[in-house]
Amino acid sequence: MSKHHYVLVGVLSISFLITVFAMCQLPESSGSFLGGEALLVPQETGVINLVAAVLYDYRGLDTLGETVVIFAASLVVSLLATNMPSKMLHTQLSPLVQYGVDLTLPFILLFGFYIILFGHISPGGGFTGGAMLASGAIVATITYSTTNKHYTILSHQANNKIEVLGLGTFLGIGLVGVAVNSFFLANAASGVSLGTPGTLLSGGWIPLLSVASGMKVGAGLSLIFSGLLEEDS
Amino acid sequence: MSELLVFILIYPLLFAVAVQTRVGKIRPYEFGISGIITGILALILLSITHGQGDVIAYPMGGWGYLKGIVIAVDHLSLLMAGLIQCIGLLTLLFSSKQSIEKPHIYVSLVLLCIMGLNGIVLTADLFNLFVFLELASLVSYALVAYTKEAEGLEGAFKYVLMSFGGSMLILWATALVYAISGSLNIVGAAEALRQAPHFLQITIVAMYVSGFSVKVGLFPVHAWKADAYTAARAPVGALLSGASSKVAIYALFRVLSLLFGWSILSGMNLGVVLATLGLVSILIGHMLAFGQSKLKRLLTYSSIAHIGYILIGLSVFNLLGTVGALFHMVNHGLLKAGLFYFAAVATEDDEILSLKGLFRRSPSLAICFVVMALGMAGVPPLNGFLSKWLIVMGAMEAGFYLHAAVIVIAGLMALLYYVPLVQLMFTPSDETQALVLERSQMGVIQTVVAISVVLFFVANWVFPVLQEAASNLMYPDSYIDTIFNLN
Amino acid sequence: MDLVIYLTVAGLFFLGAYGLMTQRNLIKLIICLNVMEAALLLFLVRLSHRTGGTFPIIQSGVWLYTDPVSQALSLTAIVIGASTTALLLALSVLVYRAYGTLDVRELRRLRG
Repeated sequence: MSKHHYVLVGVLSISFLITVFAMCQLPESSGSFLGGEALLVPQETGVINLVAAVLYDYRGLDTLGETVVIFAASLVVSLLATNMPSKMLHTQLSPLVQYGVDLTLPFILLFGFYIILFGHISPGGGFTGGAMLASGAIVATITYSTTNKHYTILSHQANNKIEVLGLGTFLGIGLVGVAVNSFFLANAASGVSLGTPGTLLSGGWIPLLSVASGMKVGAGLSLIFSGLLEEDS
Repeated sequence: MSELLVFILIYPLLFAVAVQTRVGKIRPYEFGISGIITGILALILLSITHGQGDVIAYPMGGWGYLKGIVIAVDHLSLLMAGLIQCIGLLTLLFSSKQSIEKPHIYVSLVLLCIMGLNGIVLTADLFNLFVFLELASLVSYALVAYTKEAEGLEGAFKYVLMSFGGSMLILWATALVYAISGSLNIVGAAEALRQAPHFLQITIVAMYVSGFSVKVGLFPVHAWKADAYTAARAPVGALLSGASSKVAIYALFRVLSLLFGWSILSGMNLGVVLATLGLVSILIGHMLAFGQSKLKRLLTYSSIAHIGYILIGLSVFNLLGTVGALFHMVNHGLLKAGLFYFAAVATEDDEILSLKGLFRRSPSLAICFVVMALGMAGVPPLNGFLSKWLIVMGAMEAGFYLHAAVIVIAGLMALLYYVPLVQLMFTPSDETQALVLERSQMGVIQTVVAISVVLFFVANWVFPVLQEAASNLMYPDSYIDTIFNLN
Repeated sequence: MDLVIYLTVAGLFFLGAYGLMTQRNLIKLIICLNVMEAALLLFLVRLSHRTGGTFPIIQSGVWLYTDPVSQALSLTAIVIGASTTALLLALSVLVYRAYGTLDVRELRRLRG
């Protein structure tokens, strides 16, 4: 314990006390813009999942920015990839794991698709579902890869295409709003039919945006994982 | 014409995706450069249609400031956006003749960095600002590590560790603002925030200041900057030092002045605190620049000092100082970019000693360096003098006499470490082979020099623009009204 | 109850910050960053709390919902944090190849 150390601990404890004291002064329940108007959301956006309404409609630009962050991350990881095969893939897993994955993998993927497609009427959405699809792909890679062969559900190029397609769809839907003289990333304002809130075909562009970001996230995370394993296939 | 705002925001993404999908079919540099030129054209078009004193706001998705995200420009944002696109253009022009592996990824990353910076400048939403800040940071880390050599990796790792901590503080402050006001719009949150408990206000300001200080690279948290900029390729160093750190300063002042207003901030003595931070940065930066053996490292430390000038100019909060600081952002951005490019072409392995006898090997390059160094130090017939003079005047007017004196003395200090370099260039050396440069690289450096000389003589035309921008920062009424009246 | 959450948030955050400044192993540093981020996610989720509110999916007969905005914000923050972590992990693999160690004290080729 050097003198430096005590100073550091002191500074951090003081900051700790200050922030706790500040947070205790926060108002009891902060007003949110959706606080009183939550029930208006189905009329405005056509979806009953409020989080999906915020992500894909009210604050669509954030979601676009975040898909771009994943795009950048998968670019970066494929750049920094090391060209060396990973040792982890050479581990022979027991038959129990093999059969277990055989059995569960279809359900993992199915559940991922379900979460993406039903994101606007039940908990879920593109990000969650995409992460599930990617985790299915990762499980498959770890289990089925042998010493000679690096197993992937989709090839590197296919993942790349899906990723770009998802991003392109997102941007394209955004630009539809501009094209029909409304606003970028507009949903109801772009004249699309909202349908009956609560049914599968409702919410205008929101299910499509959800699928697009699901494609983007699923493919992007798979790319990041395979980039961390080995690269330049 | 407000659709142009959307175009300026997303055009780098469109071009990056195109470069990425058509690898091998299109030439990445030419494509990226034409992309940025489109962006600059869009900016020019926007500023023509913009009109006097107007603010253009664009509601994303048609939702107003309460529910949705609003992007808006005034003269200040336009100025910053122009600076970003110019430095981005110079970066791509200069890198096109460097042999960089996987050029399509490099061009995409530079474009995405520009997208992040554009987003920070255009958005009027706090969380959106965080998202774009993270986009720009993530891409910057990758650009620093691009060479995959040991130094680059080390610089990038240190950069991420500090910068991510800063981002977290910014996110925390944003969450606190949302908890108080229930709004994420800078303008929409202001009213509730001004009535919040004093202690909470101070905490939020402290979080924003320390978070953005890391991003800017101010004195106590400047360590990453020297490592990252030194390890990065010269054009990347130019982009980070010329555009990214300026944008972080812009974001700090825009957020604080719109959220709290200057009267509350000066009640907290924030001006004094920031000006003093700037003062220490100036002294430390210049002192560390002495005795460096690597040119890029010297330039980085001088960058830390120049950030200090800009910070003082903005924190004295009068028209003179603000105009000076904005002018200095432009000048320093251009000159520092030029100096980084010079370091890339004129030195071997970045060693200052390899500059020996440069004048005989390439007279024009040596002269360019002399002009840029004098501009940095603030010697009269150059733009750097004007902006420093304005900052000194502003500091005097606000009663910051010590700061004004230090700025003047610091200019002399800068001369002291540039003069030995110039001497070295004029010393004859054994190596007399002429240094031949690619035309575009030489062209970029000469353009920078030409602009910095011209800026001094056309200052009378530049100042009204800067004054508009400065008054946008100081009296943001029209910005606020435009966003309020959006629906 | 709020106080407990605030204590946890600030405690986790500054514990992460403490680790960031004292730990030597690159992987541990990455974990520290993630701890700091997790603290803020907890804070964002706390902001979504409304006494008596249900999960934010509209159902008939329910009038009060928890705040969906800060939940959406935390989703975005998770994705951003995950991307940065991926970048850091890729970097640390390369650092290990270049320096032969994960000790941050050995990373000192850039000096001056």
